[in-house]
Amino acid sequence: MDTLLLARLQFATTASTHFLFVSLSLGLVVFVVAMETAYVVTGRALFERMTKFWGRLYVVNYGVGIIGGIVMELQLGLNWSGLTQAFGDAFGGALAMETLVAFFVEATLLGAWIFGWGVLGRKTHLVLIWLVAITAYVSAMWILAANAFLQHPIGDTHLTGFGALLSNPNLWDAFLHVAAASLVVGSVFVAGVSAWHLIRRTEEATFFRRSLRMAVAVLPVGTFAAVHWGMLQILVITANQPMKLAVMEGDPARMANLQRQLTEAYGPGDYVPPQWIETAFQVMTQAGFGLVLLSVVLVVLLRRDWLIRLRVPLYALVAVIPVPFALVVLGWLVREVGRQPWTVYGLLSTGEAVTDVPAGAVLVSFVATTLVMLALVVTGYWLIARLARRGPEDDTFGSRLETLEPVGTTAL
Amino acid sequence: MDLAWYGLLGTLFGGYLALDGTAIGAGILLRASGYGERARRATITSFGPFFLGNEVWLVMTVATLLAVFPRLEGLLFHGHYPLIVAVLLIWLVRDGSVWFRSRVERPGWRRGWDRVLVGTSVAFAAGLGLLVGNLLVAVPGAGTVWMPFGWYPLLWALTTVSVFTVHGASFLAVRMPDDLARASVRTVRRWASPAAALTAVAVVLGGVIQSGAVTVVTGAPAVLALFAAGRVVTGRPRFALLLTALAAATPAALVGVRLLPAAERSFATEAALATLEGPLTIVLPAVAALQLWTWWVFLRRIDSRTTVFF
Repeated sequence: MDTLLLARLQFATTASTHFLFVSLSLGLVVFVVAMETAYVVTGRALFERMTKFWGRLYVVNYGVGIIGGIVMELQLGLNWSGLTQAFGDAFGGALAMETLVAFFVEATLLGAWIFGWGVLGRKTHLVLIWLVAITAYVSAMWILAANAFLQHPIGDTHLTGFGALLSNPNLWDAFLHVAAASLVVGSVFVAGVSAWHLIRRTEEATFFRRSLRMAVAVLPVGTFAAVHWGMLQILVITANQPMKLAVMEGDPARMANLQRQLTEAYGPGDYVPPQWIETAFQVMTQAGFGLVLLSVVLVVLLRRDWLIRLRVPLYALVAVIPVPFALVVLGWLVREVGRQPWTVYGLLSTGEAVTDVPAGAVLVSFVATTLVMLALVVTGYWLIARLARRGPEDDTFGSRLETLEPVGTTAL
Repeated sequence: MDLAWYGLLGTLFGGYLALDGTAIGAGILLRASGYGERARRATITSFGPFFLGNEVWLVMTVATLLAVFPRLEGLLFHGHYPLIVAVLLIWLVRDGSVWFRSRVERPGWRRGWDRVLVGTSVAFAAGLGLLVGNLLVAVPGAGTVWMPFGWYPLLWALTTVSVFTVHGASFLAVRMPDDLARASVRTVRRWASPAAALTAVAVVLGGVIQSGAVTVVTGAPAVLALFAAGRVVTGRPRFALLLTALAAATPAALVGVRLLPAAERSFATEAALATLEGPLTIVLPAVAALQLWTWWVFLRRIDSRTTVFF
């Protein structure tokens, strides 16, 4: 294995893993915001308990997501110094804005939100989660802006203003698609976990009935929006990355034709991205349409609680929890692997972008970071599943040090 | 103007060391700050509200390096590839231990993660110290340092661990409940002078082998601050915390002085910097205000009203 392949593998693994957590965070925070807003407006204890239960799952998921995010940021410097040296000021500018404007504010305020239960005023506390949610989406927007530059480096390749970065046609459809897909991930997660509790007939029937209905009502918004802005991206790809489209649609004649054109334009080389992205694309679209249908059926079943009384939809909801996660990963594989052989489309190939380090070093770094990351991710998911199964607990947030546990349960 | 960018980068890295130094130091002292679950939980709660916000400073340092000194960034990451990967791994596991530790009630689970948190906190401080030491002696752009364990970097590893320990202890002296704070006060009083001595040795030797008087002048305040912290911590723990924070941040200044010539050659384009400047002049004060607000709200002594999470 050579350095390039290893660096690409590491990027794919890290990005895919990281995005599993990002999409759930982005989706779940919408529900946490809605629930806490309902709590502050109505003062009902049910909404407070809902905020705390789903909020804890959100927070643990966020924490594990950060672990992948740190690897994402550092591997750009470690493995892709060709990219940072050639396009650091354009690409790095967007990343710096993401970190400063969004992530910094988001993380600072989330810490205050977690430890502010019962310490800060209710309204202050509510404002915190609103700001956390807004900055989370702003953060996603800047990441997509950086990525859109790689897909379609328009404007000056050196940063001359954020106008060029933010008016990239590869940005907005993709951002809205990602936001909608995350909403689907979040809704299906909330609905699925609630369904699990309703199947088991745990004590919290009212709690999970309310959560389930909320999630099922939001789900079609996510599925339709995801398909809509997904389809709109086809137009952008047709205009900017015809080869990617030819491979996605599995059209050998067009691929050969484009290979000839690209060879003329950029010199000899293999300009065809790996062809398995066709399968990834097909699975994503077909399953995406399936989710649209499912979401519509589920909304109809909201009437008279058929959703719960029929039981079957509950089982379906539990079974479908992993599906949106798989689809967002497929989507990123199509977008990123479909850009091969380019890191910056038409300007910098992945071969030129990769750091000049021996393959052995990259292999060790790849194996070590991936193993550690996967171990943490598996532990994280195990914990999230465990907390989800337990249902609402009153000491989720805001418990006092003195009342929590008897002194001395953990001896040295 | 260019120097202002370099100053921003130094402030971010120094800010990271001073702020996250409290969490790293508290992590090192986790099993030494009192008996039983209550002491453990109080130690983690002490840095809990700041934990996420602290880490962002390092992420931001990297992002700023990327945006303002794109060529220096590649050079440094390439030059210290193995060490940065190692520090990254330690960072990840340490993060995991903080997030996972209190989510399961089994004493064995918590004891296990407690050990991981202590071990990774020591390793993280040592790793950052090695990195500082290597940045101080290696010539930027002279190829990758495959064996980062020279005697001078090792001296810095030891220094960083000791300084972060004292810094963490002075932080705990401010944050811990009254009955538990005394142990931390004692730690500061006992270890401040040895940490100051180590810093003095590292700084003076750095001046001898490398860059002369500049290093000594830059490093001297840290030595004085550490000595003073040991004296004032009993009566004025908050002032001691300020002093140890200065000492914890000093490596950023030392590295900054050392890398200045390389940095001057690797600025981003004027246009790119001008573009960043506008948003940053609005955002930076806002972000600083937010961080100050969280420190103002949460930097008080833990009592029966304090909420826990981690």
